Amino acid sequence: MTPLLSLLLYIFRTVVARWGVYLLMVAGLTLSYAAAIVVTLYVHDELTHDRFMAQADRVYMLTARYGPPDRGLVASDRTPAGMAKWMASDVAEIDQVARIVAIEWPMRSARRQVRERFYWADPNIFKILQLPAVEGDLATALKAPGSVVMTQRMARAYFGRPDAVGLTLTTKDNQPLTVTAILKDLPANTHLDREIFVSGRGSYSMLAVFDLNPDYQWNSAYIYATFKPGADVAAVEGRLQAISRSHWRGPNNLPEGYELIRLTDLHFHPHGDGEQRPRGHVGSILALVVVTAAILALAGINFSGLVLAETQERGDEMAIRKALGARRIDLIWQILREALWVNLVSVVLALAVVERLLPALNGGLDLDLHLWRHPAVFLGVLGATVVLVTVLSGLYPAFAVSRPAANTGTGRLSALRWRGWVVAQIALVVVLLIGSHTMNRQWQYATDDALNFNGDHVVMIRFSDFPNDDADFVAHLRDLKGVESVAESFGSPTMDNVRPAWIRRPGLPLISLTRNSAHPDFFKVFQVPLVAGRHLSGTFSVPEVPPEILINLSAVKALGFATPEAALGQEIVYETDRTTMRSRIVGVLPDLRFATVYEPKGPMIFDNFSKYLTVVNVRISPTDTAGTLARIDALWSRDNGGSMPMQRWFYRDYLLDQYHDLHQQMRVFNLVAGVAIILSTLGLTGLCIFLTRRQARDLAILRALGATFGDIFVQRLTPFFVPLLIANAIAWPAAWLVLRSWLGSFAEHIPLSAVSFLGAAVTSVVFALLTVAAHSALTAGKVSVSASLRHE
Amino acid sequence: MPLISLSDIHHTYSGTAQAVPALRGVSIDIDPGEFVAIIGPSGSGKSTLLNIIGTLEKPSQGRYLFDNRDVTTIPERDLARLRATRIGFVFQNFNLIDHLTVYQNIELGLRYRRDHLRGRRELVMEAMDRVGMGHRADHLPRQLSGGQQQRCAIARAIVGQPAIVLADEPTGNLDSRNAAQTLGILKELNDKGTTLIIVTHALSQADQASRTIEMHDGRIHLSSRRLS
Repeated sequence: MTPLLSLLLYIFRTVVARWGVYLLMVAGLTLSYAAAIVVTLYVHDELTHDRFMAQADRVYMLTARYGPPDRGLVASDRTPAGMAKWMASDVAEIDQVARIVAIEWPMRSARRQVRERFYWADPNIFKILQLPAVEGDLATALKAPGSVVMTQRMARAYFGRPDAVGLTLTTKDNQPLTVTAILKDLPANTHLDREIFVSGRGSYSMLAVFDLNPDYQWNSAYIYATFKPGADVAAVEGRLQAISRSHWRGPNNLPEGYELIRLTDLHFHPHGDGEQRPRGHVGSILALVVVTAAILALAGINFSGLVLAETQERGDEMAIRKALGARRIDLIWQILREALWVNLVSVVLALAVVERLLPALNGGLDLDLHLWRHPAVFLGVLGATVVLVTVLSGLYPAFAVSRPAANTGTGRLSALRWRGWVVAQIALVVVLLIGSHTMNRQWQYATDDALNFNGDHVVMIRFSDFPNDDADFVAHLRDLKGVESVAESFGSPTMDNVRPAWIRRPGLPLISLTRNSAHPDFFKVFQVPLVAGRHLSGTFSVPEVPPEILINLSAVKALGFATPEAALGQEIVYETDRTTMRSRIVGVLPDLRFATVYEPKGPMIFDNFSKYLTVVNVRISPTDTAGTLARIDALWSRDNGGSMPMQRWFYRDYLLDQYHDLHQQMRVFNLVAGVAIILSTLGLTGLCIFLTRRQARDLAILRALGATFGDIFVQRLTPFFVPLLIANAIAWPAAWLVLRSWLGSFAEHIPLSAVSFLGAAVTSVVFALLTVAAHSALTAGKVSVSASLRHE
Repeated sequence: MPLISLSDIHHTYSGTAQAVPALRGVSIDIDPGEFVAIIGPSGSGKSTLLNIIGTLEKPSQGRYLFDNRDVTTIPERDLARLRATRIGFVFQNFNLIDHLTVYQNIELGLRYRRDHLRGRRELVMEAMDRVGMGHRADHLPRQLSGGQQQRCAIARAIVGQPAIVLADEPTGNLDSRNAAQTLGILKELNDKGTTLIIVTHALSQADQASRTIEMHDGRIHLSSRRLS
């Protein structure tokens, strides 16, 4: 028999003889390895946003802050389209600069007709955003007007095949677009949210419009640039405002400042208006890493305890080996070798679990995690982790058991050790429970309570580009069965088209506000009660200065009115992006929240300026939602002649999309917390086994002296109370510190609640006691008192 | 009326792959105040018989009356009560709880009686004095010699003033001087009316019993009374 086969047989026999404990070991390690793998993939995914592009670290995106001078109010990823041209002419350090403009237009092929989300793009965009191509030459693909580049996925959608170069589709006004290159599908971890790039050289493209009128709109394009080697990008950044001022010929409200963000840093950069995908948060990633490390540590400690229990159980075997001449190092190596095998089996099982779990996880959390994207690196890291966990968790029992006078199972020190073990487990569980509850409360607050309006059952429909059709559609909507109320708005209550305004008062602080335009029924649709005054009396389009406005409570305070009623009938003068306005306050609203809770709420103005209304908000009856939506779709089709695909979404879906990152964090955190709880259950069960074995004789003595099952039960529960108290005493301040820091990343957040802490404490105590009780109940009948007393 | 009455007791250990019969039809009556020594070779069933008498194990078959009460059918809770109030145990390996002092170990013998005995401390002190351990009350078991540990175990067995004391090879781990001392204490107990049953390999100890039961292969091979 070969030594390896002999070893495997020995391990097999050992495992079979004590399958229960080994099952606990493998289950705990598998679970924690699986959690660690998932979190590692997630963290890697977050940290490698946009790095699939070659030389992504050389690419910068231009962003801007708008608002009153020296006090940017709105951070925006979109900047004036003219800046690209001005940067190219005035910044000598520029290597390449290019724009994309995000838009939605109808697109049609024989297979698909939708209102498509795509980019108008400068022809040199792929020299900067070096996306991997599978067909065609990206260097020239967008040079000709009417050329289009798309991903394989989109090519399949439009043409049923990925090799679509040379095929055509049409867009608005039947303009033909010819496919000139095919891109590899974009990964999920990119800031780009569209997969079609249409040449901006066409005369009908928005880029052409902006080239003709560079001052037309101030937040129009995403601008990317690369710089020549050695360029001082920070210095360039400082010159950009002066450059834009020297070229700008339009009305006021130029950006107050510009920032060049390295593409590889963009994902963790603070929120920007018009961001293509929600950003991530470094703090959350760090918290996940810490929790995962804690889970691995917990699994290691559990494993260590079980190995110790097992090796103590095999004390005779160890003694015989010693008697037969085994050196201490031989015994240590033997225990470590067995630990390594258990870890290897666990990690293989964990890989299988993750492989099965990933599709559901990717689908549920809108992720694109892959196990084997970088197999060599992945296996290397995993192997190193396995070795580390094996050594760290196996070394202590190995040294303890192989000590010349091994006495690991008794005495005060041992008791301290297992109590420390319980404290560590429960403290982590309590922190995670408090964290999980707080995250869920913050989620609830962000998506519901903080809004101060009711966005449920509201469908938002983007207008077509045909105002007459839209007017007919809205008029007909009001009479449609299942529709309760209808109101148009200029993006509200989303963050699209946020417009700043400000009020200067000599010697007083400047007041920043955001402007919103909506139909008077907007507040009926979103069920917003007036605090004071009346609603807007109607809509107007000419002249541009709104005669009457509503303000919110924050504005009442900022403007210095003692009460909402005091603000009624007052006129205010404010500067906007185009001109100075004077309007009369006719009503006061509560503080509505259109931005996410990452941003502070502030003073708002609502006017009824109808010129640029972009969406219609429709409150539908909660009953027969599907039927009402079908009727709305049919109405749209009828009023638009069937040529313009409809774009509609529930406000609630928009909101969830805004909190995509928070949602991901919450789900992953809940998952990790669940894993930690299961792990702790396994750990405590292992501990019970350990203690049952260690205390078997003591418990048998008590039984012989007349103790009932109830007495024994209490006897076994009692030692857990103090560790549970200590665990909570450690966990509460730790959770308080961590969560206070986490909540601090939100401009508005819930207060930390005593319910979270008490709930976690009660849950942890109940869970620990149930685990111990369950084990006691399961094992009590199986313990032979006479055997325990005789064999000791 | 006998204190202990066993009729056709069978007991089989079924934990291993093959069932092992330990007792095969044992019948015996033991009167109050008797001193019974059970002897026999290893594996003859003497410890099993003692455990069944002490209600630590239930027989697989047969009838067991303790003080005229059938203990094979009563619930575990009542058996625990019976052990707490009527039976004392002494083991070969002492079975003291390591982290409790001598006093606390002996007090354990009263804890599960649930009758809130007045003068509990006095009872413990008295038991300690009876076995000559009064000066060792605050010592831990590991600080005692084997003989002292066994005396402590005897004190724990008798502190509740049980009707019967069961001793499983109580001198097996002791030297001859301590063995004699231990047996002397047990004998003194018996002289004062406590029923005593010991399992032993030492014929010299069995000779001091009022009755000797010799077991072979799970059966009573010989039961002989000593002529007084």
